[in-house]
Amino acid sequence: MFEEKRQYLSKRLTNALLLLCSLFMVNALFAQGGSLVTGKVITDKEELPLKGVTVSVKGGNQMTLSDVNGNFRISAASSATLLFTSVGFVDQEVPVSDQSNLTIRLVTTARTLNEVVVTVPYGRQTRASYTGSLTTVAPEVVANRSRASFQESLQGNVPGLIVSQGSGQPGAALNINIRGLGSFSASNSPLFVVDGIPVVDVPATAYAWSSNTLAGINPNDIESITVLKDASATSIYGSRGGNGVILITTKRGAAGSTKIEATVQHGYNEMTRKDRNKPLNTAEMTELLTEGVLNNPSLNISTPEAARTYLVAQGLNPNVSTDWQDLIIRRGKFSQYGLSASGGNEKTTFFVSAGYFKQDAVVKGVDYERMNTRINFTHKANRRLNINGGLGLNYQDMNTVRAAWWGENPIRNLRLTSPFYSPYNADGSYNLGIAYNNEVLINENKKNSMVYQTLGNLGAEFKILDQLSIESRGSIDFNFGDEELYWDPQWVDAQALNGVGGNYSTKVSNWNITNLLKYRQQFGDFGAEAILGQEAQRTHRKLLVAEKANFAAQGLETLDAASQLLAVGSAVLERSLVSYFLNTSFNYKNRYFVNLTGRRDGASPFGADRRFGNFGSIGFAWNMEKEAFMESVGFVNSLKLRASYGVTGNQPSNWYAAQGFYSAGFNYGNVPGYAVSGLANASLTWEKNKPFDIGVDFSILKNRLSGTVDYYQRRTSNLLFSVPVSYTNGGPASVFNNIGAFDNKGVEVSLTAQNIRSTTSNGFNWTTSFNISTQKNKIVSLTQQQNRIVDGFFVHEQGGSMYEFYMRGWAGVDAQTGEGMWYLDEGRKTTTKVYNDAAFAKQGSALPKVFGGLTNSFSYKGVSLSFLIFYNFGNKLYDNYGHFTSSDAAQGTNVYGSIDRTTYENRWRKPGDIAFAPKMVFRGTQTGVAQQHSSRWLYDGDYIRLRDITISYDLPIKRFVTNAQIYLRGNNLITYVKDDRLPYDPEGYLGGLNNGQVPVSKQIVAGLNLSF
Amino acid sequence: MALQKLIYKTAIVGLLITGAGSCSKDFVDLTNPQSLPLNGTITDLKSLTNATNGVYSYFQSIDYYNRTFVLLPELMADNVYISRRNVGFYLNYDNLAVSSNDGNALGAWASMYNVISNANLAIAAGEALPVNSATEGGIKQAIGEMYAARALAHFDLVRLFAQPYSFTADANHPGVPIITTAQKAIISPARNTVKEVYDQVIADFTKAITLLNVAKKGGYFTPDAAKALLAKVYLYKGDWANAESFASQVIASGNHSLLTNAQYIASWANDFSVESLFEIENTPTDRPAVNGIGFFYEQTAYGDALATKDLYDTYAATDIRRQLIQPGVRANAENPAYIVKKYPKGLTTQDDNVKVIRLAEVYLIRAEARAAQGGKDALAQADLNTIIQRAEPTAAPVTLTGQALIDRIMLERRKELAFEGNRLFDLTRRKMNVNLIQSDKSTVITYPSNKLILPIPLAEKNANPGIAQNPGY
Repeated sequence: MFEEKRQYLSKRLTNALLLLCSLFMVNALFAQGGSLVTGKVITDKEELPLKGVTVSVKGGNQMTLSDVNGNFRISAASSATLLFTSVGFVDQEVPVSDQSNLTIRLVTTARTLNEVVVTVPYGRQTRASYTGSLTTVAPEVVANRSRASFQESLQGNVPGLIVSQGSGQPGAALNINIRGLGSFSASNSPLFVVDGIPVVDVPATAYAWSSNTLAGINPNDIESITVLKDASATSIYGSRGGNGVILITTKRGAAGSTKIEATVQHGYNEMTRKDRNKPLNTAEMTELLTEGVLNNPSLNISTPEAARTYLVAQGLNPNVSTDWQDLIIRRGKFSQYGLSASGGNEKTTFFVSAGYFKQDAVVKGVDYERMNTRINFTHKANRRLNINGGLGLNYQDMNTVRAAWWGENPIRNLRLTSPFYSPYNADGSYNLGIAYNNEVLINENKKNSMVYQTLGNLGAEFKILDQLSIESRGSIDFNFGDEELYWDPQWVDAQALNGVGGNYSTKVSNWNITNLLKYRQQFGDFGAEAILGQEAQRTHRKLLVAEKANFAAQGLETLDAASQLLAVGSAVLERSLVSYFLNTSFNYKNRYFVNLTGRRDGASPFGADRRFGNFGSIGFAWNMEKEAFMESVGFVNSLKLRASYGVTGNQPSNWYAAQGFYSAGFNYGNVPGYAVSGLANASLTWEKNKPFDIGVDFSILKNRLSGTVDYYQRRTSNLLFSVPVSYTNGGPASVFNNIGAFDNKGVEVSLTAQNIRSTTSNGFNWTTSFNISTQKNKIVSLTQQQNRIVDGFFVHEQGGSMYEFYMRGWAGVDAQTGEGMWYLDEGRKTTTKVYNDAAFAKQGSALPKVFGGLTNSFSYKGVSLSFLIFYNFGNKLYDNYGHFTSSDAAQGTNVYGSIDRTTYENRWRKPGDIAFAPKMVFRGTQTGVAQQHSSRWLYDGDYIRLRDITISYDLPIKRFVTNAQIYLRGNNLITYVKDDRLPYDPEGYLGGLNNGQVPVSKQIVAGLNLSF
Repeated sequence: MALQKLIYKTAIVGLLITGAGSCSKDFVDLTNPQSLPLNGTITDLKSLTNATNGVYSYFQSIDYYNRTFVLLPELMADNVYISRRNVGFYLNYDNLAVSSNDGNALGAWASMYNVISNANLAIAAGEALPVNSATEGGIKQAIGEMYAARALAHFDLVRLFAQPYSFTADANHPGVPIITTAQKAIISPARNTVKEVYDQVIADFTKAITLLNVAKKGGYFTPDAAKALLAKVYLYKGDWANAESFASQVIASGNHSLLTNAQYIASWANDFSVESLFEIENTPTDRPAVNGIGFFYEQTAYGDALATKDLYDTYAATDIRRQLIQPGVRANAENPAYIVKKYPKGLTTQDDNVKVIRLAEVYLIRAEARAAQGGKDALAQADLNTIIQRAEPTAAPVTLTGQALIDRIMLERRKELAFEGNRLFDLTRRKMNVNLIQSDKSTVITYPSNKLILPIPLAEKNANPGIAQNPGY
């Protein structure tokens, strides 16, 4: 079987290589005669000369660049068409038509949205001709943003896109979704395609759960990002397009003088809302515990003095007041350096870059470092053959925290540990009476994750005829995670074992081959285009684990220095996809466009009976401004209507979801064993996404106001869901199934206004961009047997939201007795003081209803100021571990009995108090015992944040450099949170749940950009 | 460009596309490299043994014999409490404030049903295997082990999640779902009655006894292990004659013997002593590590669970068993603190085996069964004195009779079987009140009480709406 696969693989590779080689061999040059054409390129508005504009003969091989005065000379036939392209300007085509001296006015891209050429699946085309819904992100939105990954910078800049940071761990994986959550338990993450390569979406690490392979891409290398949203845009990606697609294009060089850019950034980051949940000090804890003693009648203590004496006898040391937050929270340093060069000649262009990024998180011992290099090239071998490729190499070096409620997470320990315990004994040694002593954890334990990544691709485009071309592209995305863990003998998990060490290797390789046949023909007023394609992808993951104990001496941490074997193991996971697709579009007078797309995908995770699926879409666009009746409507510069409908898919996140199986590893007595770990479902099939989109793109008032409005409705059916089943079935007590359907609906509006547009290049400019998105999730149907599925903290019910919180309702505090109360019924009419008697009820959704961003940019002479305000309304957040930190003195003087500030500030003290938190009862059980999950820890998630603000100044230096800019930037500087009880940063909740993540930070950064 | 070349290029593209097409079905046909299909995997004795090992590995779960199930019956009564300096585990059991979303209750429930469902698969596949003279004994032994495993898991479930057999006159109160067939379609079973569960447990152990044929097999069920456990089931049921009968068979088999007084303390660090009938095996590479019961008792690490003074005081100074509880100090908390030493590898290799049943308990089962039948007090005294005098050779023989004798046997069970997961069950099956001892107080819980059995886990209740919750949760 294995042999067969290998042969198959080599056959596929041979085929691909054969194609590429044969393409390279074709070297026929068809020179075309012509006469000399000269001209000048200027800006449309200011009429300033433009240097470095690429001037080429369309369909030909000749190419040149405009000089510093905007002048150019090129040889072209009188029947030829010249193409003028330059970054930041709309491409322009001009027929030579016997003219010998041309004046070309180039329009900046910001002004006519519809004429911009955008990266779309498997190619580039003008926005006007595109029937799908997309948002493009300019490179400056992600470059030099002092954020580890480009994904973080998308927040607030793309309507319909949510990027939830969740953790302050630099370089961590993010929760990203486009137009709502499309699935219960399959992935909700969009497909990322880098330079045509669908990259892996799984971490290449075993220890560091939150690592993000995409953070390996240097944001400064990115030329453009295209976010594809509707069916017409995404259906060409078939089974992977269901959650939207994000296309990333890295920079290419341009012919002409070599351009060198250097950037430097330095800065600091600090925890946001640092004082909001600052741990109580010993005096404050004593105040609470004293009340607790007095409130516990069984202790028979009636005076505060006696209570304090009792507390001291119970272990409260009034002379120690440890601030566990100060011990581990720090001001982290940030630095970034970048160097790039680009250029080339008419035949070959290149882009090379190197970058370094380092950020210390606000938690000691947590940091992130990245180095990367990239080489991109394009080469026009001849009139017909174009070869291009790229290679990115990078490594990420991180020390992470596994966010979960266990002792290895310093955030958890910080929240739980009482202030009257000291981390050190009097003799300076560690206090090991604190089992999870953060000082041991941070100072003595080691955990390091390195991820090495290469992302390489090579492609060729061969023009068979002017109308017909073939393209072939092969790529390899290779990730290697190398991780080391060391637990000091003083750490609780290694005490008995005299130190524990682990080495983990994770290899993720992903290759992809795409072959395209492209056809383009104009028949009078009718235009037709088609892409026929074939694609194959295979992802292979291998994990190798070795753990040993009993280390020879301190400082020796490699496994050779340990004597006792604890674990050795390996595991392999594979996934494959094979696809065929056809994309066709037709237009009449470039006014009416119809796009039809079909794709057939076969994917390994599905049941044997349902492995292949068909996807497709239909899209329309109407460029209304070209109609005669619009000529009288003078204020409209462009107006385009779009509509699309289609079917896309989604795959399960479990690569063997359909298979029931015995899994090895259930060993006993050193004899191998296996047990059921999956329940089979041979009919498991594609999750179907049926998005409908209708939208309008417009530009009015001399292009001073432009925007896009979209309404969408996404119906997901055949929902892939890991349905919880009775534990009596054995195995994982859940089975992957296709159940029911739900809808995501919403409106997206984005507007850009040039409020003040200077007539001179140095004048005052003010631009405002605003976007707002609404989303509503509604379950249309579940299974025939069940109309309600309770899954952890959420209930999925027909007519409700998919992320509806479901838990017992906290009814506040009895004003007379101070006891906690819960609702006995879903209608919240009657209350009980017995937690177990309370009713489970719906408590609101974890999904925001409205979110968006507002950006203002001002510039005058060399100074510019811009800021982005992000807002998010209508969601609920749940503190998954609030029931441990609001213990209401139930934990007494226990080392893990720390009580949170919200309880301190909101507790009941005397009869008549209308309080949110109940009275303290020393070692009481009415409230405060663990597992009393309730809406007491559910918060409103509404917030508004100054996400970034930048002030920059172009230094008036013109010697040696072409441009020099200094700037000061702040991220997350100001945050307004509606719920004043919310203990953490509103972003510190991944998927609505707080699990003890690294706190989110705010940053101040100073930077310098130089261009030569 | 020559037309021929164009055709050639186009042909290559076509070849590529169709070529991939012909292979694409195989290309996307991938199986999990770590796993085997559910059907057709058990084909011989070796693969059957792999499947039975998987069942035993579920007995090793943290929430089953490696900690929770052995701890709770001690903690929810008067033998053990959680120190006031603790890492936060089991606090709700310490003060009987358990709710249905408790993770340990769910862990125990899930592990026990995984034992059952995997045993059912192994039984079904094993019974279908062709038998020859070379494999017959081995296959029978393996299937017998699975019947015993299924019986034990049902017995443990019904003890933890249901009121005792004697709670109603005919034991018709809710027990737990009985699962005896290999999983084919997804099921959502309701609860069987306690009587039905006991009947099934007895039938399974009885069947196991007919199949098991290896007298000594450390870490695995043997005929004596199944008989001893069956005797215990009859004892819980109040079927004294059968309890006595099966206990006698084990004692008479001669395969096991009581440790001597001198061997007793050291035996807790050893695996598979002559007295041990069945124990869950842990090894250095397959061990519960810090999540084991030993680490929860040993100090300097977690050490959260301490013995009560009440228990300590039941032992005479000359009782060898008192050495398994060492008076000491728990830093920043209890002084004195009584530290449990019955799982002594918690701070070393962390691979203590967990004893499920020992010959000493079989003597006490027979003593109780004899005393309860009436007319057999002398025999009961003899069994009881065997255990007392092994631990305390100088102790005077017990001469009590009637209820006083039974009470004395119950006391001896508490002393001999402390920290082995019996105390709460021994009290409730005898309809006795439970003295809940905590760090700073003790509370008498009057029998019967909703709080003395665990809630049906919330996750089970949510996935299986037909299952009835226990009152009070």
